[in-house]
Amino acid sequence: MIALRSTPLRLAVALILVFTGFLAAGLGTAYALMHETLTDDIEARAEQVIDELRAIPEPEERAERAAEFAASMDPEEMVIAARINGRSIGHQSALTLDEGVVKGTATGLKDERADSYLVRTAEIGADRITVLVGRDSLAELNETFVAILGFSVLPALLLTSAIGMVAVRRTSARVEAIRSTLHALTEGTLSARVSAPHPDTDLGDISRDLNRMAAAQEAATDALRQIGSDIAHDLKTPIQRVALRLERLAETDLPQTTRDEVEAVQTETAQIIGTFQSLLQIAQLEGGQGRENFAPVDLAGLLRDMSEIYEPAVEESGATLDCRIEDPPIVIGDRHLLSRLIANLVENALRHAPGGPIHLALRGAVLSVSDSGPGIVTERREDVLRRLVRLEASRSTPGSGLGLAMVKAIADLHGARLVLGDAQPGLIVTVTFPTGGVELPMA
Amino acid sequence: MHILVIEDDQTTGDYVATGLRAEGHVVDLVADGREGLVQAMSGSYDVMVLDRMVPGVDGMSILRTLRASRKPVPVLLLTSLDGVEDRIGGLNAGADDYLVKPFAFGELSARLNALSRRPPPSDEPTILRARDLEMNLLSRRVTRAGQEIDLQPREFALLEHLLRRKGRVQTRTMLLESVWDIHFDPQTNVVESHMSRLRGKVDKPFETALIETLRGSGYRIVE
Repeated sequence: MIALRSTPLRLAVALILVFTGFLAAGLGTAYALMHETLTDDIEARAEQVIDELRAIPEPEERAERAAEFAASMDPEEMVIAARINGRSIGHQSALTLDEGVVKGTATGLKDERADSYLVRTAEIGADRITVLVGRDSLAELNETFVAILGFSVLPALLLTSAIGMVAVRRTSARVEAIRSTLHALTEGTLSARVSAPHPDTDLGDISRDLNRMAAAQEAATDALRQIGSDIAHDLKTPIQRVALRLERLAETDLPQTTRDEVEAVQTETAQIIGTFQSLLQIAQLEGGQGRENFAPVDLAGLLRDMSEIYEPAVEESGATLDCRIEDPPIVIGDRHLLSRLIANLVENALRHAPGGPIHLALRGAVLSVSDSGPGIVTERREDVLRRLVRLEASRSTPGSGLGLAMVKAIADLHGARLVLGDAQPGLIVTVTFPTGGVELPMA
Repeated sequence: MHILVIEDDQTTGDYVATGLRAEGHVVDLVADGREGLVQAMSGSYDVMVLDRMVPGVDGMSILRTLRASRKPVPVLLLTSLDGVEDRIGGLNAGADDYLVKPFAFGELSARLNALSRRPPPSDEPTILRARDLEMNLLSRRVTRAGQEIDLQPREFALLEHLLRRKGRVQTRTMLLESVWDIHFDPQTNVVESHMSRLRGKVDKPFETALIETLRGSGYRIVE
């Protein structure tokens, strides 16, 4: 079904309505004018006969003339009934009719008669004249207009509607192609294009412009990725060498102060490697990589596992960890990435709310991790989801500033909604997974 | 062990080769993919270290060729990016293990030892022992010096993993991957905490310790 939101459909319907309106108005006016003319004509013919008879002064002569009229008239067109000078002329049964329109059956006429008549009467002295004029011409007018409607207007209307619908379908298909391409591009499928844009139409022009824009966007993103991967590749090897050299250095006989220093450098190097790999992985996730391995994941089981993994470490740090599960869902996703999402949230809570209770919960498709730490002020909640952003208050705590950015990237990849809220006190992070599965972009 | 290392970065290759030789292995180091493929196909190695990105023929192609010709040699793949796809792609292509660059030598050495001494699945024991510790895999009971030790399921799995690899070092990362299926580096000392709990039950009530910590590299159960 074509949605009523479709602009072409609305335009087509409006056009058909306007067309129908004009046609109806034109036909209506023509009918009214012709009807009036015919009615006037019928009226005039009745008046003419009466006037002519009235103009004859001699009653005998008038009776003669009326008899001539009555004899010569076709009863379908005109019927005359009169009593002049004591003499009965024409169809006497019509003589007593009142003025106005009467049905043919009310006139007392036999076979040859019109369907209806206009009745005019006149009194001239003691004489009485009644003239009936047939109104069949009006009935013919109605028939003619019904024929016009039936044989030309209705087919024209149907044809217009049909053409309109075809145009709507074709235009809608083109609009839909543009819309789905835009949707795919927004979802991160940068290779999406409008296929075979129609030549020489405005929609074709828009499609071509959209394709050009997408191509430019794709090229820019590719260039950026290439730079990223070049940097990654060029730095990997030296970092690898540094790590191995340090490792070997640590194995040699060193004075204690030097050994401590070497170990500190090793820790720093590990931190560099960690940051580096997280940055690369976030970039890959943002590029939509990882969806290939999506499969049904038992989120409740995963949450229980993660809670179990972290429980001893949390307890050692003096905090507590509990896990509540209600109505567990099956989500479509990557188990390893989801375990990382949960791990990052737990570690974030451990880091920023040391010693306090940490609550893990899964209610339906809503996963939440809350702590009792200082929380994040409303205005800064969006900021912390960006890469390498660390709030002033947390400068002294360890961490790369990539934990929540990674969580965001993983949530986005799964089509899940990530919200940072107030646990009063503390921070509550909720991740709402789509219940109908993840919409995978078409390859 | 006879080990083939295919790695194009000379410094890394040299360090790896030197380190492995120092541990008593025989090492062939090759920097080019084409030559590496010839060596891998013709030689008889106990284990191979293969860089995913080497000039000539890339690591994945070497791996596929090896597997297509049914060479059973265990292969450890060095991947350059910490991407999930790289890992799964490597394992699908027939790698037995993978290691993300940059890596620590201790990690590589421990993994190679684990790979080369994988027991054939046919002779699965039902009882694992280390000195006076006994683990019955069927009844899932653990005793030490005749005394019953009550373990949580995951503690049991951790101890079982170490017992099966008695005398060999298991790094934090290896334990995370095999016992908990975690394929990233947690910023929290989760392994250490679990290990300390396990020790509290297995070692603390007794005179001698069975679980050894090797500073900077990992854990092992004494033989």
